[in-house]
Amino acid sequence: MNDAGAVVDGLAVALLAVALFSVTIRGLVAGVWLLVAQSALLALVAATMALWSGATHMWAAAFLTLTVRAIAVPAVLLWILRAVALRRETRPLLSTRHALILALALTLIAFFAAGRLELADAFPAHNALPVSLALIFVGLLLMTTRRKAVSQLVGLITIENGIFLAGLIATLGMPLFVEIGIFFDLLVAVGVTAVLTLRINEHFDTMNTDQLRRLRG
Amino acid sequence: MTLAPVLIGVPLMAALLCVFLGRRAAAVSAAASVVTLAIGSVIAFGSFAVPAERALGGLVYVDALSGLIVLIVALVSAIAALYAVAYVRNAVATGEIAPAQVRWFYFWLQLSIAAMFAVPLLNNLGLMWVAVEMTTLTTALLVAFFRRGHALEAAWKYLMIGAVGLAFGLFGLLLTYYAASHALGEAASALAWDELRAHASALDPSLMRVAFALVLVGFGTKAGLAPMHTWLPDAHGQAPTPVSVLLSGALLNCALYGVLRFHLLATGTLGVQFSSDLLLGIGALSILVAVPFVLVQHDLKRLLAYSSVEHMGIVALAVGIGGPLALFAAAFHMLNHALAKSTLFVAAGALGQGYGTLRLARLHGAIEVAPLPALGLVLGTLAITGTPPFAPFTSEFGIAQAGFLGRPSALVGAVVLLAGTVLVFGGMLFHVLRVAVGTGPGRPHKAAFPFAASFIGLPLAALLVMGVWLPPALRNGFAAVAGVLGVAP
Repeated sequence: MNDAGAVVDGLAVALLAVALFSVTIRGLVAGVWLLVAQSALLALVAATMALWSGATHMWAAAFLTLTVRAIAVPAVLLWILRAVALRRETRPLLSTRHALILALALTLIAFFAAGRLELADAFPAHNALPVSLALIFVGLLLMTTRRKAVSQLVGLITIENGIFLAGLIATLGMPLFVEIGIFFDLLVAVGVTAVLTLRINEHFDTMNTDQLRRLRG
Repeated sequence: MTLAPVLIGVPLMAALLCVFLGRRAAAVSAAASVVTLAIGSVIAFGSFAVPAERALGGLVYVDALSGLIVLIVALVSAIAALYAVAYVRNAVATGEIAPAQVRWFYFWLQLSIAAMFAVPLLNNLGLMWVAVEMTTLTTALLVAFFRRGHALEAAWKYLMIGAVGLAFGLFGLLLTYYAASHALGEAASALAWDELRAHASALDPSLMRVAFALVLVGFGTKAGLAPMHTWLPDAHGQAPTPVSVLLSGALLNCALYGVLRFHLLATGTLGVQFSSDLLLGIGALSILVAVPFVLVQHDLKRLLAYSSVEHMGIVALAVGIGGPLALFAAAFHMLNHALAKSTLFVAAGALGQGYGTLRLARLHGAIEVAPLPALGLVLGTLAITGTPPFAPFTSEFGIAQAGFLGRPSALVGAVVLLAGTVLVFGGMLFHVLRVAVGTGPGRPHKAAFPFAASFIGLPLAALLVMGVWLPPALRNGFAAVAGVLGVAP
């Protein structure tokens, strides 16, 4: 019982480290690989919880996390990057150093906020809930400060990973058919954004979303 | 209520048929929407007459509130799909849409209609969330269907803001599930609406407070409530016009439906005060935010889009005011807005295709070259701004009256409503009168407006009739919706 808690705690810290690391790098391909690491760690959390609780639907959740979040989604992202021959995040709104400072501050806020949110009989891993909030905040930070469409997508999936982690910790995930719906949804979302990204690239000859600033008023 | 799966199934099948029968896609889509209009009406009026029903082992739940949304989606999607036939043919003729793309337009259109029907019919709140997210994904590529820079920008904004908003909604849902799994045990039924509602008083109040706030932000983003509305004018303005009709008339109401369900849940746990005050505040803010953008507007469809922000705000405000009168008027107003906005977008779309622009500075003298769309635009504007004898006057009057009779915050809300309505009336009428009878540099490059007559006339006629005499079936329906929204825990 406590072993499982300790394992999940360790995995959560690793998740946080990976998310913070993705704030500091500007290579787009490396960013996607960090997303793979994030999702693989998340699958490990789900597997640990499955072992601990003996709930079969948790194995399904772990399997779906691995196949959808850690393999299928990053594969689409890497395919986009190859198709448009893009390598680096240029001119993010914040320098990576400032972004990291902001991300650390957000992490502190996440730990503080999670302490106030009392989930009495959540899974006994004290780092997990704060880390899930931190993932949501860091994802928002990535979405708002990065200009490349793929980077914004990485931010969005980081947010969703955070919510998924919170779900695992609080309630052993959602009911299975809802979980499957959410995974299906994620796949369609990535597919649709991939198509849109390619069209933006075709049209503007760049994947900079700062070209997308002309609609006002 | 075994019709519910048929209602979702017909547009799904139609979507697939559109892909395979590429050349007949327009006919398939139009026929499917006429069928769903008939089935949707049966379901809606059935739900108004009887208490809530669940079907398919609790997968489907239909009460008067679901019925109202089904009716609105059925009406608006029929208008959109029928109008799309003429609009797309025109767009192909002018080279805006490649002939090979036409089938995909109808594919996504019917798919999004299926998702919109699923939202009010699904009992499980988790699946409802999935359906709402599906409406975003299926309409995103439609918004970007003209592969212009502006349309791509609008679609990207729509997709990203919508996805982040709904992620917050999912977090709220998760907290609800956590609270419910205490009261009900960890089962799929812990997210079923009827079970949740029945046990709402046993849920943890502090969790539900956070959950409702998150859901309000999440689904409120999709419903175009300020300050999360920033994607809406872009998406509604840039989308092909039949899609604007669907987004503005049907989809906003689907998202608002999610907010209302959680409002009922929060009411059951926390009492009526907390979520009502939040709705009242966000509704008033939406009205206030929309006003300046209506007054200084440069684009006809953006003008209509900001008017949608205002009217979603009015509905939220009405639910926030509460009480039988305001809730009745809120239900009435949802239908009124959907009908009026359909007319307005169809008229705007016809003018846009005729003039080749939507810039207000270049639209003049429409009454001479395109009398029907111009007349539709002016009369539709009179209707939506609350001019008697059109029905929105009745519903807005009811909301204001309830506000003045209510608690102090409701009184403030009513004042905001009246002030906002007066300003928007002046602003919108100024703009559309310049389009209709004004003189200026703009002249249509094409004098013929071959379609749009009947689509403009029908919803307007309905608004006129409902303004003078409300058919008993609808009156009972709105009363039933008010009953659902006003149930004391």
